Parts: sequence; structure tokens; C-alpha cells
Amino acid sequence: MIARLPRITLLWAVNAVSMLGLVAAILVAAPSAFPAAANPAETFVQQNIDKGYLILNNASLSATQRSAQFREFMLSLTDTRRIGLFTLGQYVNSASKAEIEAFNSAFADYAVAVYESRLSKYKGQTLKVTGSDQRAADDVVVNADVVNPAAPPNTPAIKAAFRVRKTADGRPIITDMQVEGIWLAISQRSDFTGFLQQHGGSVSALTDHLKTQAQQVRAGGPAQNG
Amino acid sequence: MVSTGLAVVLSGCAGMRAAEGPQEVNDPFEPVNRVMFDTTLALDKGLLRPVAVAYRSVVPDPVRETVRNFLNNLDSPVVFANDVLQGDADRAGVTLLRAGVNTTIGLAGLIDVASRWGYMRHSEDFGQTLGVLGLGEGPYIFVPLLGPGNPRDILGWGVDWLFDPLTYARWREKLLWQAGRAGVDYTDVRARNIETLDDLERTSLDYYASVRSLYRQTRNNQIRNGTGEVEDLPDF
Repeated sequence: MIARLPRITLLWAVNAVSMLGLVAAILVAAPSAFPAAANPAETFVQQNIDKGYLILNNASLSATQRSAQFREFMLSLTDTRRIGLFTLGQYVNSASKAEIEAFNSAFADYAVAVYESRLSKYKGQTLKVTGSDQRAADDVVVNADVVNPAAPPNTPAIKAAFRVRKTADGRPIITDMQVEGIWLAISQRSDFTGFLQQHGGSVSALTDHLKTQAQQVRAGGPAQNG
Repeated sequence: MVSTGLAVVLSGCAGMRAAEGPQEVNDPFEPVNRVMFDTTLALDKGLLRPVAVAYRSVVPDPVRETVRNFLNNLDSPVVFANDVLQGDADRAGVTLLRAGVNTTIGLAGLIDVASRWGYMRHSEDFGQTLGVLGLGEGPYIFVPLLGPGNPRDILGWGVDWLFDPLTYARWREKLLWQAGRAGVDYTDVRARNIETLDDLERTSLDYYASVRSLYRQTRNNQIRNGTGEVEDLPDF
């Protein structure tokens, strides 16, 4: 225990220094610049979460209309091409252009289905942005809490996060979403490259499976073991 | 020739690492792991999941909560030991307080009084402790029945068993009681994850690879909570 003391003190020192840095930044920043410059990524996420939930919770829309609106919304918010290419891992190099195009289309559909299914699980709960970590100039992880109003008090909130990056023309987009430490695109990459390895690297086979999988996710149907 | 071969293998590995990003595959036993995974999955479908489903539908919520509280409380010494080893005085204090309050006022741990007072439970294990100390996980190993693991975490399971005071206590029919404890614990955890795992299987193309990725990300998240370091993410 005594040997651990220097490490504890060091941690406290690091925290104290970063806290001072934060306070200094707040004091130094010009008043007018502060609200806008503070966290555009956080604002972007909170506004769009609210918008997304408005669509998901809109009882006046039919299920088809709701899905269509949500799809349009989601595709404007993310870059499924960029995410899709990431999920192929090293197999992106050995696939033909036509295969990649077919894959991108199937992946976009699959991604929307999965996002809609996952976010619907949290319907009726509130998703509130709590802060962010600036990893680079165009790379911010925005943290959020998922709070269930129906849960007993003192229940810890589920922790979620969104990775906000920028398109080539400077528009913010979400490239990944995390719930309780697990990133969706990173998990998908493991899933897809695992599948590709078991199927001789065939991106066409992957595309076909994605189409089937998207249908099953939508139907909420029986599990299929790859 | 041997050194050239080795260089090729190593550069190939490095290439794969670069392509995979910070989370390498590191699964040299994959064929065996997949067999173990499939076997466990078959056992799960045939026995474990049905038992968990039955447990959840037959046993009322409050009773299951009480069982969970009791089992969690039994784990307190292990959590406390690892809080201390990680040098986390605050969390060690919370664990101690929880154990004290729940064992006395909470009637031998049946009621989680401490949570109502705002002292929430956290879990710690020796695998996390080793991770906090900087030890890497090593190759992926899927242990039949017990599930995903790696050399560091498996060692952790062993050390935690040594930290558990009940390992050293003696009482009549001890083996039966400890087996019962393990069985109920397993069933309860399985029952709390029925839809989660179903959903994961339904949305996965390669369930094995998904579980491997999820396990690693979860463990890294747990270890990072102890160190507060910023996450290493691939560039996309």
C-alpha cells in the first residue's frame, strides 16, 4: 500500500494540472467566442439526438414513413461509405470496384437498420450530452448519459459516446457510436473481417449476408449464426 | 534463410497490425477457440439459455434481486483487495462501506442498502488490476463454458479465487454449496443477458469475432476506468 502512494499522488497532481488548464482556458477565452467555440461537436450531437428521437417517437407516422425519415436523417448524419470501408479492414485492398460499390450500398442499409434497432431500445429514455474529449482538431468524442426516467433513483446512467469527425468540406459527421465502452464500427470491423477470413476474403459473400442480416434486424427475427 | 523467413512473418504481422489498427486480432489459437466457442454455444442453446429463461420467468423479480445482492456481497472481499492493489483509496472505501452496511443492515447482503444511500457497486478483479499495472492481455483464449478470456484474465480468475475468504473457510458440504453458488451466479448473469446476446447474435455475421471484439473492448473500458487514460482509437 505504501508503495502505491507515489502513484496516487501523481494521479491527483495530473488531475489538478488539467483542472487548472481548463479553468485558465475559460478565464482567457473572450466572452463572445466562448459559447460558440466551446463545443460545437457537443451541440451538434445533442441537437441531432433530439431530432432523431423526434422521428423515432413520432406516433403520427406509419412505420414505413418513420423508417424512411429516420434513414434519410441518419445518412445525413454519418458517412456510411467511410465507415463501411473501415469495417472491411485489410480486405478493402483485394476487392474490385464493383464489389465495393455493392458493399457500400448494402452496408448503408444494414447500418441504418442496426442504428434504428439499437436506438429504439432506448426509446422513452433521455440521451443527454455530458461533455467531450478533443482528441484532435477534427476528432471529438462526445459523451452522453442515457437516463431511464422509469428506473429507481440512484440507478447509474448508461454511458454512451459519439465520435464526431469532419467531412472533406468541413461538415461534422458521426463516424461511430459507443455504449458502455463498446464502439459499434470497431465491433463491426471485427465481425466483418472475421466473416471475410472464414469466407476466403469474398466481399460479395459479405454483401449478400449483409442484405439478409438487415432484413432480419428489421424483422426482429431469429438469430443467424455466421 | 531462417532469419529472412522470420522477418517476413514479423513484417506480415506488423502489416496486419497496421491494417487492423490499434486493436490487433491477436488470436493465434483461433481454430481451437472457434471449436470451443461452437461447443459452448451449443451447450448454451441446449441447456444454459433455457435454464436462464426459466429462472427469469419462474422466479419473481424481487427474489432475483435479493439473490443478486447476496452474491454481489460475497464478492466484496475480492473487489476490495483489487481496489487496494490498484491504489484506489476512494473506491476501496466505498467497497468496504457497502460490505459493512449491506452485511449488517442489509441482512447478510440480501438487501442492497448502500445503493439507496448513493454508494454504488463497482466491480474489480485481478485481471483488471494487472491491466491497470500495464500488463497486456495476450492472445485471445475462449474457455469452454466460462467464455472469452486471455492469459492475463485467466490468471486473474485464479488469483481472485485465492482472494476469496470462502475458499479457506470450512463447512459441511462445502463443495456442494460452492458449486451451487457458482451455478446460481451463472444462471442469474445469463438471465440478465438473454436479449443482449440474442440481439448480438442476430446482428452478427461472425458471432465468434463479435464476441471477441466485445470482450476486449469491455475489458479495456473497465481497466481505463481505473487509470483515466484516454482511449486509443483507429483513424477513420
